[in-house]
Amino acid sequence: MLNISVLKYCLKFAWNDMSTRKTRAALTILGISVGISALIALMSIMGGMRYQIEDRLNRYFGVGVRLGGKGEMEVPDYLAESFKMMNMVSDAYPTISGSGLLGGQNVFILGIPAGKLDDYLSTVQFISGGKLNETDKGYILVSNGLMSKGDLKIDDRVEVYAFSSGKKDYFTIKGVFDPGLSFGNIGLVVMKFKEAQKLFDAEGYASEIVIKLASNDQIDPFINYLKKLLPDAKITTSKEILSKINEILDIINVTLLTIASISLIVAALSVMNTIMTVVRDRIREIGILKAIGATRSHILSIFLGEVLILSFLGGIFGIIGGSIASRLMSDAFGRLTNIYITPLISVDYILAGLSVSISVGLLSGFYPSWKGANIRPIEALRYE
Amino acid sequence: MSSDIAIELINVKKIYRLTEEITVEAIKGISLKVHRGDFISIMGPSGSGKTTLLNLIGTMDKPSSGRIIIEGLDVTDLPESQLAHVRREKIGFVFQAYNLLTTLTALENVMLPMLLTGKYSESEAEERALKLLSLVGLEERAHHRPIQLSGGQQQRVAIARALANDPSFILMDEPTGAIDTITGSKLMALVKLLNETYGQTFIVVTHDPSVAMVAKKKYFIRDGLLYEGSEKSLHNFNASFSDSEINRILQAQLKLLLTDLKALKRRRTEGKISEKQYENLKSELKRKLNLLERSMRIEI
Repeated sequence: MLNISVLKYCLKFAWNDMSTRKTRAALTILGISVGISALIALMSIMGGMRYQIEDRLNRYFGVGVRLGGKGEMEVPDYLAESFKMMNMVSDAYPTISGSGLLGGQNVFILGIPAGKLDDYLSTVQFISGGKLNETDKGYILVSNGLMSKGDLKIDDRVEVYAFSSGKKDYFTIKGVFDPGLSFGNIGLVVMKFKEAQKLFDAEGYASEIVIKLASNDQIDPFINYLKKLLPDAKITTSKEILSKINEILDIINVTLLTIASISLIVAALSVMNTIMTVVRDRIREIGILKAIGATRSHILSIFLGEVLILSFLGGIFGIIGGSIASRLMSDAFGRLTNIYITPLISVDYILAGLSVSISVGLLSGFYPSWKGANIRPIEALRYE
Repeated sequence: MSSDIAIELINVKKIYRLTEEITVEAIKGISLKVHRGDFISIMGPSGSGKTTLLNLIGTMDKPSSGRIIIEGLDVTDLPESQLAHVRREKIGFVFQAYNLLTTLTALENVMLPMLLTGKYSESEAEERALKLLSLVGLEERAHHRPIQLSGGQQQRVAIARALANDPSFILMDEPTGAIDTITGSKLMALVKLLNETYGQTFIVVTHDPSVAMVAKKKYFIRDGLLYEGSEKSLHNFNASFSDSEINRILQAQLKLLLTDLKALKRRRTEGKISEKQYENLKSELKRKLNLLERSMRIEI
């Protein structure tokens, strides 16, 4: 018996009631929107964090695989060239890494083919000087922390000592870079791969081969292929690391959402309270409607219509409020810690926010609406 | 299923149980037959069981014993959902406090009961509602909200609303209780006219003898029992309409009947009612048309 024109009237009743009692409606909408705001803000910050972590990892690892040996430097370096010839591989290069001393200070030495530094390290930022060229000989790049600690300048000639080989050599500092978060206080020295091989006495070998694949879904077949080819090799993929990190992020996510849901419970109670007041205010109207033959479902649709409008508007304002709040929060967090997270607002979050607000509204509004719809007409009409 | 009796009460009793031991017998056994086209008044002071009887007739309360039969349908034990249906289709209510929905216009108030039945499209409901409002002389006020109308006007809108679904009877509860004597007198004259020319059945419950006097058949209720007869009137309700006013009302009734006939034909062609239902409803409309025709011949 609920036809369109009756539904239209139900919504009209709901709307009229809200516009005659604006403050109450506004406070309820505010209540819902605060809850949704908290939810959206936390979701978007967590989303932004996840995205940024994935992005960094991807830049560090690429879509790809790192192949290492059992010991320190025992992967044949020619493998890089052979992998490069495969269709699914977009790039492959060997690297050497080991520890040593520079001017008496502990350093981590990296040997990378010229031009691969940005690719290899996550957040490399050049500060001064030049990068390594194909033709350069006897040059190194040094991390900024090491420069200030050792009181070094560009073009200084320094002695670099490698622990594993016991060899040392002299190099000229060509440029200074900031290695980003990942290396903290340990000084970092970057040299060309061939020169590192010589220094570490490991000619013909590499610590790792970095293999970049054309697309993500080729990782699994490629790894299977590698495992058959080199059963002893140590294979690391971006996927594995990501899934580990995602596990941790999921735990943080659940914790934060639990906190956000407390504010949603408060919002739900506020909706329930409002609808109870609405029902009490309109008991007489219910009586009239029932006397002229409105059924329980008609009355129910009037109150649920009001709930729907309130929670929809609450959801919309909550989404707007939440995206503003997340910007402010990440800004404040950034100023405190120097780590800037760009909050991520996606269609998923907007839909989630809206569906949560509407379902919270309907769940909490149903009981008082049901009570109102079940008042007997005689009681409703007697009420003054 | 078409019956000559609009509503019948068979030995109806209503007992209120206040506590385990104390019970109040508000209605002590009332039998009443209201025929179609009747105009009856039930008078009684407060505490006589008047309101209880009204609620029982209006299916808003259930009797403790006895039967209530509306147009041949025993409604005594019907569940609330079906009672809503009965109220919607068979009973028109007019309350003392008008009880219009304040958020709707006069027109929308009259349209709503029609829309609730699902029988009329929105435009049909609007057309009928306008006709009904012109019947009670309020066509120009159709788009006003109740708050913009006087008490007498609101009560006329309430009558138009009560007429909306062409009910078996209209139940009026102190219809003049909240308006002044002159307006009240006019309102009752309208009710009388609708009864005489339109054949609309009215049951008026009141404590005011002047209102009760207007009815064709008078009852009074004392201590939960119903008696036929009347008590003396305090002042005379003798307002009447001018010929042109009567003519306007008759014209409006005629137009309304023609609209109904049109809607009925549409429902038959759309297959919403059976041929038998159609014939029944058509003969009902015809009866009204004949009555109207007779009134028009006398008046003009």
